[in-house]
Amino acid sequence: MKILRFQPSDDQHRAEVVYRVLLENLDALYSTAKRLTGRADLAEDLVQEAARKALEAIPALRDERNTRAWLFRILLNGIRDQARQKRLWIEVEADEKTPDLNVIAESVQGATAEDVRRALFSLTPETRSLAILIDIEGFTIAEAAAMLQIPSGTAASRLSRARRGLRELLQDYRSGSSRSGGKP
Amino acid sequence: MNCSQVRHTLFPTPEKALVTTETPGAMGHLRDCQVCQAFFEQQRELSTSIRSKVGTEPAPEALRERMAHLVETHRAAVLHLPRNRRQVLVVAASIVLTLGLGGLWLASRMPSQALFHEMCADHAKYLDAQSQLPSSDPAAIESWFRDKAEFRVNVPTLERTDLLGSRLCFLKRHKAALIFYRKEGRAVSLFELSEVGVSLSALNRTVIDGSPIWHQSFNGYSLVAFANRGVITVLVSDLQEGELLPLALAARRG
Repeated sequence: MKILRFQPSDDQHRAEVVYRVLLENLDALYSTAKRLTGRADLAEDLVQEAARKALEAIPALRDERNTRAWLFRILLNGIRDQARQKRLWIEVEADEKTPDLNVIAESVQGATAEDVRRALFSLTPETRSLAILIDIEGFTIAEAAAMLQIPSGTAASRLSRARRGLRELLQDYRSGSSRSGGKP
Repeated sequence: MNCSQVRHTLFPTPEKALVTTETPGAMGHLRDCQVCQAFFEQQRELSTSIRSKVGTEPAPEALRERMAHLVETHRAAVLHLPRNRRQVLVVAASIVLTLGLGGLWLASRMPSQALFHEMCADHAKYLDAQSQLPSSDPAAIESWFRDKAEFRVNVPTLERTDLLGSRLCFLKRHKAALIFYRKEGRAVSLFELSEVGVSLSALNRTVIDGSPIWHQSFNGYSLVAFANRGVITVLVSDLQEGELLPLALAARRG
């Protein structure tokens, strides 16, 4: 006698992958949204909206291995649309200047967590997003560039600018400068 | 590639950098350069420091519950997805279309495939070059075919290959000129026939020197073909395809 086993369809299997990756990365998605918008309530709404869009778009997901990047991309689209409506996200011209490679880890290691959060939030949204995606969330330059829909060279350049900005801000904080740090 | 170029190429770290044509060279440098290794280690530490200082903020419980509910609702919908009439019709139409196109494709390939098999059979049949016109003179052979074929037969001179003679043959109702050669003791048959009603698409296509050339092996025989000015030329031999190809290219050059 043959035992018939339930075989999930491709769509069901793909949907299960999306559910799992979505729930596993909920904190990261929320943190990213909050770091980019600076508002907890808005971050919640944006994550929920991104999740709803992602579930609707499951059949369009081509490679399950990219599910995490795909979810971030949907979230970032929402954040960018929101910020553009409020004119908070202004795309600067592509900066293809050579990255500044003199940023050292010490500038961050010596700073308090609060200083780093303040410095990060003081960056412009387009540079901050690169630091969040690459340094905090661990994406590659190419993945981050695809999520933000910018050329890879621009992504590398903006990351460099973000790091340079962080270093300068952290030096200001340490030297007791009165520079405004924005919201934590 | 110097250290500065390597650092730009592999920025911010080798595992997160863009992959470009410069990457292999930069990675080669990095393997042997302790200064660059230390540099990228410092870049990694920078990321780790930022990540550990900033941390990840837990999502509020309310959001977590809403997300869990969203997922459960979606899962239930996916499991009970109705197979509606439209979906069934789309699938049925796709099958009919696929079968129809497949049939047309097969119909267009099969006759020519049989033709190529017959060429191999004729090559085997006339291995000892049973010519109607034994000759090593290309002009004499071309002249002999003038009132026998509906197309102009071209007899190429092939390097280090002996021309033995020719005969007229019929392949699946296609009249063809068959020219016998021998290369290093191995028989090479060159068929020429009108392009009308013959498709080379049954063979593998490769573009060489800007023009397509078709090739395949049938039952241990190699077959290389090309089309030129309405005439299809096919070389058949038990030489390897790679050995036969230069002869076909020389024949194509004329």
